[in-house]
Amino acid sequence: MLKNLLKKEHLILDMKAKTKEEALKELVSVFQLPEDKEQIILETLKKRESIGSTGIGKGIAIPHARSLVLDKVYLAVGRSKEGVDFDALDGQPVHLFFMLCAPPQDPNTTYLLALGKIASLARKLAKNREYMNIDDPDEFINYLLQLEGEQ
Amino acid sequence: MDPALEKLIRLHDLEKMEEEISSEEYMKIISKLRQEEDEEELKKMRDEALEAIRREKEKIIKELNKINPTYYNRYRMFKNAYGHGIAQVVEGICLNCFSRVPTSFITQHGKLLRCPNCGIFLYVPKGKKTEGERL
Repeated sequence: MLKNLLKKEHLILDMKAKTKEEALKELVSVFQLPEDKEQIILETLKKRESIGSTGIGKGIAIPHARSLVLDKVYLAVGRSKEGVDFDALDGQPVHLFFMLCAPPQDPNTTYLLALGKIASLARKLAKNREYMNIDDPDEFINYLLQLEGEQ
Repeated sequence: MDPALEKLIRLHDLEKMEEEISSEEYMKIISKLRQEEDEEELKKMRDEALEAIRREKEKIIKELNKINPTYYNRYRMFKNAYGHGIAQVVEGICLNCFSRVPTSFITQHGKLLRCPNCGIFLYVPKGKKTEGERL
């Protein structure tokens, strides 16, 4: 399922962001949306974060939101070797991000299914931080897909 | 972008978030993500999130009413009737009533428009082709 959403051009293996806001901005930027759409999505993601951090602990965060300005489901994956202060539940810096953005209408429920898949994947990734050592984008995506397949 | 349109989109997105957080399916995923199985704790978290969304919505509605008090009433009327107060235009089609909107709407991207057929507020994305453009 994640195979259709994971794209090399939506993957950042060396995130520059240091703060939560910078991280959200950097991740949204890979979707290459027009500026007005990008602003609205960023605002929605920030609102979502303000009501409860999506930094689930153990170095992983899953920012997600739905917005009227989108017409398909987008997934961005980012890794920060230094880590980002993301107000995670365990107070630890976040090293791996899965950003999921979707339109309001989603007849195939791709968004919720993907969120569920990412939740399962995150639990596996938290146990084994092998993702910190992979620097080739194809290899990184294959690693995630392999873990997803093992679920 | 027209300030009223921007506020209507933000209101729509917040209401989607509200619906999502209220759903059992979503909360099951959140419980899995947070590895939190205490139902009371999850309920508390959900109630706090819903309260925060409610406050944010109130702020937007106030701002919207300053621009034009009829906008929110109309938005609410459509929300009650169709489940959403604003709809997207995709490929020249209003996603509320599925009728084609005038070709001229594409050049009015960013303005506050209403569907000539069903009357709902519209978000017309930049660059989406209408029938007229394809012909």
